[in-house]
Formats: sequence, structure tokens, C-alpha cells
Amino acid sequence: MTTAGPKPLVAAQAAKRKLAEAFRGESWFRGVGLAPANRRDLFTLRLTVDPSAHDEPSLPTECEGIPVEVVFLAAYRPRAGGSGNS
Amino acid sequence: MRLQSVLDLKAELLFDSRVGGGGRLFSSARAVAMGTAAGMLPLGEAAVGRERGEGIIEFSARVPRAAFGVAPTSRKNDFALAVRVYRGFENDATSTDELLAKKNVPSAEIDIVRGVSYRPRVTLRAGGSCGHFEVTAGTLGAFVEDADAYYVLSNNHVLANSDACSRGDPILVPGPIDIVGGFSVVAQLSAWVPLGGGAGKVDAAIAAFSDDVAHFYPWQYAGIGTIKRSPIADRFAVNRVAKRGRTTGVTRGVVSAFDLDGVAIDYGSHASPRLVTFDNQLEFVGSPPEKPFSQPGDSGSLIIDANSMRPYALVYGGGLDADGIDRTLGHFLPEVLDELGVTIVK
Repeated sequence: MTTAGPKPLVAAQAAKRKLAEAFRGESWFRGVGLAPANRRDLFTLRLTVDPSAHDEPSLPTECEGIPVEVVFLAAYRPRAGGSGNS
Repeated sequence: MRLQSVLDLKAELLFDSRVGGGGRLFSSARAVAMGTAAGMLPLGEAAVGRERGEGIIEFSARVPRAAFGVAPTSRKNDFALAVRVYRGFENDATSTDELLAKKNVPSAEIDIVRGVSYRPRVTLRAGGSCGHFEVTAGTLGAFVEDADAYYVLSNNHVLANSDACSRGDPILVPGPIDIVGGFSVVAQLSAWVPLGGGAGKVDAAIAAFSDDVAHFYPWQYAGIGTIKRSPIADRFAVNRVAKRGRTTGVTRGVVSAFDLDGVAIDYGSHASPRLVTFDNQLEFVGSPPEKPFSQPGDSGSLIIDANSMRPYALVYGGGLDADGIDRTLGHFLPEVLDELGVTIVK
């Protein structure tokens, strides 16, 4: 049994697509991407989750042997000044 | 005339033109108010307008028709009254000439020039406040060019009011919300990538320099250094970054995510949401993470690779996560430049 760990770009992108296919359309889903690992050519997965969504997500800790970092973030806003955006 | 006589005459003319003359040297007819922008600008009775047919912006609804001063003559200690009649009023002889006639100044004592047009001499620098006349403010990110012109680069929602705009709209420095005294129209909106709704490409726009721009510093970012002219080609090859923006100034950070898909950003209001979704995005956090890499007003900032000093990304959004870490969104710069058909100024 192998432990999950960062993977090279191509493998990480394939896992990202799998994660996106699994969760796109979920009310809590706010995006999926790659997070830099401590070696320049290796990546982990990054899942953005809306903490205010009503349904309770079952969140993965890894996908295709690559760790998944979960970030809870309700919404991104444009960053013009004085608009009340944050 | 003696100097004091000319100074006295000048003071009388200025007084008469503004008070005694009941504002006869001023015109209030030619400025065209442009909707809510006039109310946003803290310029008293001023309004933003366009001089029809010439694409020139007028800043005041009460435009002086002439300026008065002291002109030297060929004789030592002898001076004339300098009168400079502004362009557009050179054939409007009534008020200026009437006023001069009332003072019984011999024509030989008047140095009059008709049809002048004084313009600001603006020096543009990247990383400061700018904006379309109907937005609040964002950041002038970079200077770009094509075969025809130099442009300022920022976001659509900074320069093109999130698609609610027209080609040629005035771009102000500083942005409207930052105007305290004066401002300059430094550019006219040239092109923007429509945000639309649903799937978006990039939030970006360019505006061509106006005639007011005398100098610009295309590669200098105060507090960061001089950037290289070719952007980073590999989006995965960057770790440490820096940016200079209108709100937070110079900040440093790191890439926290590459290739983010399904990034939804709301360009509407609470009452009327307008979600646009972007794929393949970049996300950044500050160094340290508790210090925001950007804040509202930093939209349009150029993100620079701290190792190579090459341009890397364009700030357009952000949000606070549940741990209180602010996360900044950026478009990969080569995609922005490709969409707009421009390059960093060479």
C-alpha cells in the first residue's frame, strides 16, 4: 500500500479533472486546482468548498494517490475599490 | 505699462470676469453631464463632459474663456497685459473683447493670443489608482502596446465598468473614488474582453493614452524594481511573487494554487447577482499568509515573478477563507495579452 503524496504535473492534472467531474454542480463546490508542493515539479490537489452551502459535503482527503487540500471560502469578489467587496 | 499697473488690471479683469461680470467669461453650456459620474466626483459644480467631435474631455461645467497674466515687452521694465483666449472661444469676441474695451486698455498694451489649449502634462506610473469614470477605482496594472498605440492595462471591471461602457470612455487617474482635488483623463477606453455571464475568458481591458500623457515609465514598479518585458511562459514555474496596487501598495506573496477550474466570481450585486466562471486560474496568498496579498482597489495590479522579475498575472478578484486568509485571484498574463492582441511595451 502506497501513501498519498505530491505527483508530477500530468498526473496531478488528470486527478484534478477526475475531482472536478465528481463534484461540479454540487452546491458547495467552488473550484478545483493544483497546489504547489515543496518540490517545484510536484503538485497536490486543491478543492475549494463553500462553508455556507446547505448540503453537508463528504470531502475527499486524496484522489488518485494525491493529497487534497480543502479550502473553505464562500465567494470570490472583484477587487475594485470602495465597492464593499472583500 | 508698469508692472503694478498690469497686475492691477489683471486683478480687475479676473474679478470682473468671475463676479462683476456675472460669469460672462464662463460658459456653462458645453459640458455634457455623463449620468451618475457627475454626482460621484467631488468637484463642486463640475461635471465630466465631452467636447463634441474632438474627443476632448472637459472637466468643468463652468469653463473659463480666457486667462490673464503679465507679458514682457521689448522694453526693460515695461509689461503688457497677457490675454489667452481658449480654443473654442477664439471667435467668440463678445465677452472677452467687451471686457477689455471697458478697461480702455490700448490694444498695443495687450498681448492677446486666441485659440490656446493648455493641457496637463501627466507622467504615468504603474501600480496606482485609475478607473473608468463610472467605477470606484482599481489599479493601473501595466503598459502595453500594439502596432498602433500605447495602452494602459487593467481589468474590464476597472476600465470598462463590467461591460457597461462605450469605446472612448474616459479613464481617470486617480480613479473616481480617490479624487480629492484634480484628476486627469489619461486614456480612452479602447478594447475589453466582454465578461458576459457564465463562462468567462479574462477580466481585462485596455485604454489608449490621451494627449495629456507626456511621460510614462513602462517597466518601473516603485518598491519592486524594473520588470522584464517578456512575461513568464510557464504558469507552473512560479512560486514567489510581488505586486504594487492602489490599496495595499507593494505586497509579496506566493502562489497558492495553479490551474483552478470552476472559479465563480460575482460581478453583480446582492440584489442582482452576475456570476462569471473562469477556468485555469491562479491564486495567491500573502507572505506571511495573514497579510493580504491584495484588497479591494488592487484589481488590475500586475503580479510579478519575484525570481525572474517577469510579468506573471493580472489581479482581478479575491476572497477571505474560513481561516481568515485572504486569497487573491489572477489571470495568467499571456492569456490576457493574447485576448487583447497586445504585448508589454518593448
